[in-house]
Amino acid sequence: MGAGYHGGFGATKGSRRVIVADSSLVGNGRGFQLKEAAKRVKKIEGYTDVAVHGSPDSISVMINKNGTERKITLDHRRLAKFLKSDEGYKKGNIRLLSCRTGSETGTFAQNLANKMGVTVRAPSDTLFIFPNGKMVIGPDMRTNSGRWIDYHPRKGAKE
Amino acid sequence: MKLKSIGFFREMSQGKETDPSIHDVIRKGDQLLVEQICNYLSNGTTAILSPGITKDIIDEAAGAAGTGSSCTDGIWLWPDDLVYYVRKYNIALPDDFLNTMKANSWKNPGKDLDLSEEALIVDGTEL
Repeated sequence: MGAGYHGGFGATKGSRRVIVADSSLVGNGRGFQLKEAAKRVKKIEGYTDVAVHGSPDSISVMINKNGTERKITLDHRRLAKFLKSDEGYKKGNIRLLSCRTGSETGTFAQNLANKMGVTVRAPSDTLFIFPNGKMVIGPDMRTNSGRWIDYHPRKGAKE
Repeated sequence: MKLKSIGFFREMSQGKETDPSIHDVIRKGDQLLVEQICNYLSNGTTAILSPGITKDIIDEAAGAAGTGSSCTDGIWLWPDDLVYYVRKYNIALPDDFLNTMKANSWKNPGKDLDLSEEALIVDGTEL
């Protein structure tokens, strides 16, 4: 099983890919920069990278419709559903390139691990990706005080 | 690439305690320049990407302000959500930053910069 990069970058109508950035961000190019940045990080064998704007308990997608922007929050079930139907994800472990989704005060990564039945690796704090692929986990881009945390699926968990 | 940080405020998640307060500059910008400033800020290159949504630090109930990423024109480094605060609250930006924009005729020269081979030195510190 190879590692890889996974995810589409916009709410493309009819797309089977995971929505990992809001349509407004895609519209002004930042969504595609997320895609490019995700490509530059060093891959880990056996893990598929999923890049998405995140928080400790959810991921966020911004939708810009007729000039009005609104945030749509997706829980782990919705992301799991997207992943399972996405051509870019076959099977295997997941690394979330997504801010604070591995926070020990949150539930997102553990719930996703339970739902998917695979290990989910996620950052404990805000994630910063540099142009050369370097990643910093911490409260700001200068402070690398966080870490990657592996969340393994728990038997019997109903998620 | 050597960059100077600008537009970071202490209330922001990645602001420092020594950064200015955003509350001191609300409604103090030149309203006539808002569109030009926002256009400039929106056309920078993302130098440091942070895949998280930031909240409005002036009115949390307002929801999302942008992302935690930082953008550049090749000279300055500013938070991605700065454009949100300029547009919504007409915050005043430092003259040095505005002078750069004016000198560039309000067209961001840093659009689509390729930074992949560059070490980033921000405020004299390599990140």
